[in-house]
Amino acid sequence: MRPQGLLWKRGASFLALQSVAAATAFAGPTSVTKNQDFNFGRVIGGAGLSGTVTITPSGSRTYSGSAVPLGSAFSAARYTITGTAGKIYTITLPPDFTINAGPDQMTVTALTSSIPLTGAIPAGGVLPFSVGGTLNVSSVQRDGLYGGNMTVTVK
Amino acid sequence: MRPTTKKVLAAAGCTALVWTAAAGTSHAATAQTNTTATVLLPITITKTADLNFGKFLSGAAGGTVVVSTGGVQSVTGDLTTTAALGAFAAAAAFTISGEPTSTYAVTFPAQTALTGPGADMTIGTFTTASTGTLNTFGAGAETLSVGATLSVNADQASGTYNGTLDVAVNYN
Repeated sequence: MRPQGLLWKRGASFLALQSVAAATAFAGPTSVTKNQDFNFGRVIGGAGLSGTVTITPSGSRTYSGSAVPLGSAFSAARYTITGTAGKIYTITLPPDFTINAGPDQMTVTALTSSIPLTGAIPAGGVLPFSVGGTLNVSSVQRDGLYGGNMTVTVK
Repeated sequence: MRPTTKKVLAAAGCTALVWTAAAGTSHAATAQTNTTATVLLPITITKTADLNFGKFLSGAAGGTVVVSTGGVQSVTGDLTTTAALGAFAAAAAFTISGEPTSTYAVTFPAQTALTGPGADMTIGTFTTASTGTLNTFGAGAETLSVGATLSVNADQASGTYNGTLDVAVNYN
């Protein structure tokens, strides 16, 4: 016998229970790997010669002033971001940093990236990019091999 | 009799259990990058002696005069010379310095002319020597000597001929 007071329609359920299964689990962490160190190469400078040497993110080198770079052994820094496709990434570059040869130092400024500092990780989850910058050589710069660390952060 | 039916507004609303993937707070990832640059001392160069082919006798067919990096004169072809005439010859000399252990190249113009009373004579075939290791800078200054070959025309008119020669020393 049909229940009184209720509209009973075949095929209709009067209490719908829905559940939605989440399609995506927690997004994995984004990581960054360095593929190539940052090398300005050889520069004739000091003893009255000064200026700047710039490496572009695409890896070409130019200079201004009287400090002249030479040779072909130089390179922009190169990295790979790995993460979930579609997730937003943010790259943070330092405003400047120093490289040293004993007590002597030079400043690297105007760090630039080959890709926008924020965007979405593409399909495939892998995003390579490179970083360039400007080396500042003073007129009293002492000769020698200068080295230092640059930290690039990716969220 | 048809039983009256009332529509009961059954609450069709349900509570949907939904949970979204929480982005959470990502830890920042960092990459350390070794950054290097090598500063080299600028090259210095100062001339200390001019190139002098010395004295010689011209000939009907011409020839060449060679001054070695040691300043020794010799002639070819129709030219003649003596020890006394040759004693006036001198190699060019330069005091040079640069970044120790870096290599350098010495370059000369394609052609340099000496002008004087007669037809121009040309200089070529430059030779070099160093008191240090040629083409590699040492810790201090060194002397670079330059010799060359002078082409003398047939029946070259006698007299003094002069010219200017640019010698360049560059890192390579």
